[in-house]
Amino acid sequence: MPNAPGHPRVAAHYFTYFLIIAGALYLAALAASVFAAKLGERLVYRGAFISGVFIFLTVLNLATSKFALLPVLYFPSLDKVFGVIVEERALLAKCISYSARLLFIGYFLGAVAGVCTGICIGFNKTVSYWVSPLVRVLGPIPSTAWVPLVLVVFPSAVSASAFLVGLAVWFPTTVMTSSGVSNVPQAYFEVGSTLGAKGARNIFSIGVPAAMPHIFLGLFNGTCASFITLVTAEMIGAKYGIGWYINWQKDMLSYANVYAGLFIIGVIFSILISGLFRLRDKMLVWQKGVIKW
Amino acid sequence: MVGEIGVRGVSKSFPLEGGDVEALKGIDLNIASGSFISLIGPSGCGKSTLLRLVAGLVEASEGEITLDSRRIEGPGCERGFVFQEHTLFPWLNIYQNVAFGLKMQGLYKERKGDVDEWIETVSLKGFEKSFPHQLSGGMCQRASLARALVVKPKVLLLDEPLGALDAFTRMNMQEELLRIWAAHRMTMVMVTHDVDEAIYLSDRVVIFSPRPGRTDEIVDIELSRPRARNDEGFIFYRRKILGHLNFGGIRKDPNYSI
Ligand SMILES: Nc1ncnc2c1ncn2[C@@H]1O[C@H](COP(=O)(O)OP(=O)(O)OP(=O)(O)O)[C@@H](O)[C@H]1O
Ligand SMILES: [Mg+2]
Repeated sequence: MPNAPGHPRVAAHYFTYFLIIAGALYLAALAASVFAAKLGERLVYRGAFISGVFIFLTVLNLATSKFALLPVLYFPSLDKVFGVIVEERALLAKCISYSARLLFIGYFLGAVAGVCTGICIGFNKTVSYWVSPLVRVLGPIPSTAWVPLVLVVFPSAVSASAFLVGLAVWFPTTVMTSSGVSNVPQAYFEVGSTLGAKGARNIFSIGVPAAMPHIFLGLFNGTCASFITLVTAEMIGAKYGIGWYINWQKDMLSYANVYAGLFIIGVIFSILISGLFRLRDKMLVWQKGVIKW
Repeated sequence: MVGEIGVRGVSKSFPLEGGDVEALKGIDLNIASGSFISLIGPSGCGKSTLLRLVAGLVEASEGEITLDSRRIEGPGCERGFVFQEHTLFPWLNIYQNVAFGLKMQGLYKERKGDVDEWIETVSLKGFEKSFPHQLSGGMCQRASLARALVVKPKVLLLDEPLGALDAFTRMNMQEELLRIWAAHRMTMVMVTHDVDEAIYLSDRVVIFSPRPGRTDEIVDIELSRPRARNDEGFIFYRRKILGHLNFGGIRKDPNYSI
């Protein structure tokens, strides 16, 4: 079926290619499931979802390229969106690696700082008295609001951006960790004390493992927050980065590129989150059937 | 022999809105080393509080408690504690739970063997890798017992350790407790609501009055061991203790136990 005349011409029908490749992958998986029963089960379970996604994409394709029902500027054809990913792959790959570095540094620092602050607040009344209000005031400030201050304080754009990401991670991690620690049943500490646990042992052998499910919740929220902040963080003087790319393309009104960027962020985020879920399931086997969330 | 507990003039009141609650008032009690003592009495009379005082988990408002003539200040590992609800750490498996005390004291390397030994003593061999939520209540309670005993306490404090168990498991656990007590000759102080259990296990039964708790009566159980639950002497003590528990002169069904 020919494209509607309003849409700009594309170099190649990337969406069609995408459909062919995805279809081939699916068929290959089906064939493989003959030998791997587990894969087959997963395919059957995921089947409805996969079909749903393809029906949605097809409807979107019809609405954009085929009939141009939606404003062409804001709703580019899927061919174009996929085309961006293929044609600008070198630039996008560079952006991904820059963003990954920023996210990694920011997330790591923010998570470590958050867990430490949370533990201190949870265990020490004095720290709690002075720091908790600070956390509550600092936490909800949106990262955009920090930009001017951060630009002045930090020597380089990278450190400023990393700080913004770290801050976004720090807040939920701190809150969840401290609430986790202060909700540890007193009985655990009492048992510990009759078994000879003292001081720091109390914290690291009882408090922290007992609060681990909460700490993980904080880390999940932190991951979310770090991605949300990424776009803001890369507004300030970044040379490359997915957030920077989206900002730049948005200013140029090339929405196909913006969508391509968003699509990439979404994919990376879901990969990271499922990784974190795996890690949690590994570390917290004990809480299967104890705590549900 | 070690593990002698002296309670002298101990009172304990808890601050509460609208005045203090007096939980214990003027308790005097001597617990000989290596003896098995049961504390029995109506709900809320301060039995748990006394046990927690001995453990050092709470501080007395008045009076003092000594262990081998040394004043008790704060918790310590020479006084083990088993709670009514098992308080195994859910994030550790059974082996790690039992080994916890040794690890905390830095004795794990030299006394690794004790962990396996105690796990075997409480018949949990094969469940070392299980987590607490995968075991039954009775198994968890046995693991708690092993965890408390592996650090070789001089005194074992038991707060209704068998209260949550069914009658059958309960009797098995009573035997197990007696075996451990006989083999290791430690002082055991147990809170119970079950008169028969108290008579079956103890050298002395301490009967508390309702709040504020006082030691109303101390009954020495002079029966040879092993004891039978239905012989004459046993029934005599049962009647005697139930009589004391029917405070205020109200006659209750003699089979009723608090
Ligand atoms: N931490 C606390 N704060 C305030 N009051 C307390 C506290 N612990 C115990 N009490 C009060 O002290 C009294 C005695 O409590 P305790 O738990 O020792 O009773 P008990 O004899 O063990 O009862 P039960 O047989 O029901 O376990 C109760 O009236 C209780 O309300
Ligand atoms: Mg009690």
